[in-house]
Order: sequence, then structure tokens, then C-alpha cells
Amino acid sequence: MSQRIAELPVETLRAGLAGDGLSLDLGAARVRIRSDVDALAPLLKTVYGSFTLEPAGGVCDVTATLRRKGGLRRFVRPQLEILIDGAVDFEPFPIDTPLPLLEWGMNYALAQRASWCLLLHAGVVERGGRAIVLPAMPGAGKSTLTAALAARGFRLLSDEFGVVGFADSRLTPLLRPVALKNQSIDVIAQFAPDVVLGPRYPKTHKGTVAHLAPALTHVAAKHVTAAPGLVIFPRYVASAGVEVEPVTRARAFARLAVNSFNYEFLGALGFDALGRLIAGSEAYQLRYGDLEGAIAKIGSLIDALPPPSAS
Amino acid sequence: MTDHYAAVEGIRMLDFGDEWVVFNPLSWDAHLLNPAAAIVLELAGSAAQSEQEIEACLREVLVDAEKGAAAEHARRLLDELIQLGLVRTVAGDVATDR
Repeated sequence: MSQRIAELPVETLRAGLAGDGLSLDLGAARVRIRSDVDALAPLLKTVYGSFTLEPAGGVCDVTATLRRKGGLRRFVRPQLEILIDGAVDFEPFPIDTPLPLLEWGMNYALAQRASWCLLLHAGVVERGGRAIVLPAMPGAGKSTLTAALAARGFRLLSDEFGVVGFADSRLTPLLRPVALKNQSIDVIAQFAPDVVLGPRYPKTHKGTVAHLAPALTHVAAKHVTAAPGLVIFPRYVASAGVEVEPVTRARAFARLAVNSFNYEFLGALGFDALGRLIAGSEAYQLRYGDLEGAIAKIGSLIDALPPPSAS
Repeated sequence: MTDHYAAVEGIRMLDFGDEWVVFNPLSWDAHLLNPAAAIVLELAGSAAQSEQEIEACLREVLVDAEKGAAAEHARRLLDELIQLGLVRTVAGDVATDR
């Protein structure tokens, strides 16, 4: 059985990054990470610690190469750049932000490449075999709620991507560290003190960012799909307790379609996949200021659904 | 010769109760339709229909207070469905060959 990344020596990880790269199976996709940046290996050990390394040389959907940017500027203000399959698509980042750059670069690449599924911009967790899709809308608190649910026993499938199968509309995990921003970092650190958090990166273009490591049990289930269950449109409102309002399926369909990375490119394939997902789900608007209360409410909604048919 | 109206081929319809979601295979757009519009589209999908046939169908399903306006509803719904590219006009002689 392969060793988990958390158990591997940093030097082994560095050697892998500098050589053929470290290949990771995220569930719905495989990525290869290469880098000459020494600081990256211990960061991966922390936030990807529950993953195991795949054999080098296998087929990967994305190869991300993080490297020091050359040129005279490196002596004055050193920077990092990321190459996706050999091409530079991003502006360089400061040298001390390797993990945010890697994660954003991979998000971008996965969102561009995932033509094998309907890809929603959403957090996804599971309980009792049914998925809870939490679409990302500005100010929604999607990552906070996703991380909190995962810390309270819901299985994390993804913080960023709802991977919907064309054949059956089941949700497939695409597991990555959960990117928490600004106040969400302290909220989750206090809410679930046992979670593993990477370092905080202040002054990124999204404010302060920190990455929460997926738990071992969630990573171990990275190929276990979930049936449609709930679509919850969350909105964090500090003054709200927990307020839930049904959303019609047609409205939920429309909101998810515009929230997808690739719906508009898929034609009938995307329409059918999204239609099945919505038909198999109940949809709600959730306004919450009380995180524990929101989790309890979502738990009661998902537990009230009949068990999914065997897949 | 009376014009007839037919749904374009390849339309997909999802029935979500009070609302329908319809996929237009030509534009790849999805549209939300109310039940009356969905009924007209389904009817025009089964075979080309004249405006009078659509009006007659609507008169059966509309509530009593609305039955008198069935002709008006039929014309408006057809115009809207044509504008969305979900329904096309079929020449009368072609339609009557069905």
C-alpha cells in the first residue's frame, strides 16, 4: 500500500517535484505537480497529507509546474510563475505565495479541461449516499459552510467543483484543500480546532487565504460517487439565524446553469445532466448566521430524503 | 391556405410541475415556460397545428374566466415561441400532408 504524503520525508517530496513530478489522484481528475521551489514540499505535506502518490509517468489531466521566475527582477522582487501543461496563463505571484498560486492555477486548469462532465462551481458534501450541492454565489459563504459540514461528519467531495456525470448525474469527488478566505479562517479554526490548516497568506487578490486539508476518510472515498439529494443556495447573513425557503426546480435549474463552468458548451448533454440532477434533488435557499444551526438544518433536510437507489 | 405551426426538431422538455425547462437544440439555450406555453409546445411537437387547433386546445385547459381569451392566448404564445426559436411556421399545404 502506498504511503500517504504526510508520511513521506520532505526531501523525497522535493526530489519528486524537481524530477518527474508528484502525481495525485483527486477523484475525478489526476494532476501532476512539478516545482523547483523548496518551500512547496512541506506545504503539500500539510494540505495534501492524506493523499498518496500515484506512479510517476501515468496519464494526468493537468500538469502544473510552479517555478521561480527568471530575469533581473528576481534579484529585486523575486516571483513565482505557474505553467499549465507548459504554458504560462497567469500573472506571476510573489515568491512567498506558492500554495495559493498552485491552487488557483489548478482550479483554472481543471475548470478549463473538465469536458468529461458537467462542472458546477459549487461545494459538494455527502451524507447517506446523497449529495448536497452548495453553489458558489458572491457572499454565499460556500467554502465556510462546506468546510463546517465536512468537520461535522458530512463527507467532503469538493469545495470548488460539482462534478456531475453525463450518464447518471451522480456527483464524483474532486478533492482538493478547501480555500478559506479572510474571516472564514478563524471561524473554521474555532469551529473545528482539530482540522489541519496550512499557513495564512495575507494580501492575496482575495485577501487572506488559508487551505484546509481534506480528511483521510474523505480522500479514501475519492472514487465513491453520490446520488443527487439537495441543492442549497447559501447566503451568509450575520444577523440571520437559520432561514430556509424552497426554490422551485425550474429556478434551481436556471441558477445552476449560469453557475456552471461548462454548461453552455455542452448542449443537450449538459441539459440532460443538469435536468436529472435537479429532478433528483430538492432545492432550498438558506440564509444563515448560525453555523451549527445551518448544519443541523441541512442534516435534517438530507436525512428526510429516501435512501438513493443502488448505483 | 392556413399556416400551421410545428415545434423545431430535437427539443427537450423537463416537467417540473408549475414550470417547464425547455432546451432549444438550435441555440442551445434553455427557457423556462409556464404550463400554457408548454402545452402549446408539446402540441406543436406532436404534429403541425393550425392556430385554431391550438386555440381549441387552450380553451379546454384554461380556467373558465380565461376561456374567452383563448384565441388571444394562442396568438401570443405562438408569437413568443416563434421568437424563442422553439416553433416554426409550416406552409399550409405541407402541414396538411401529415
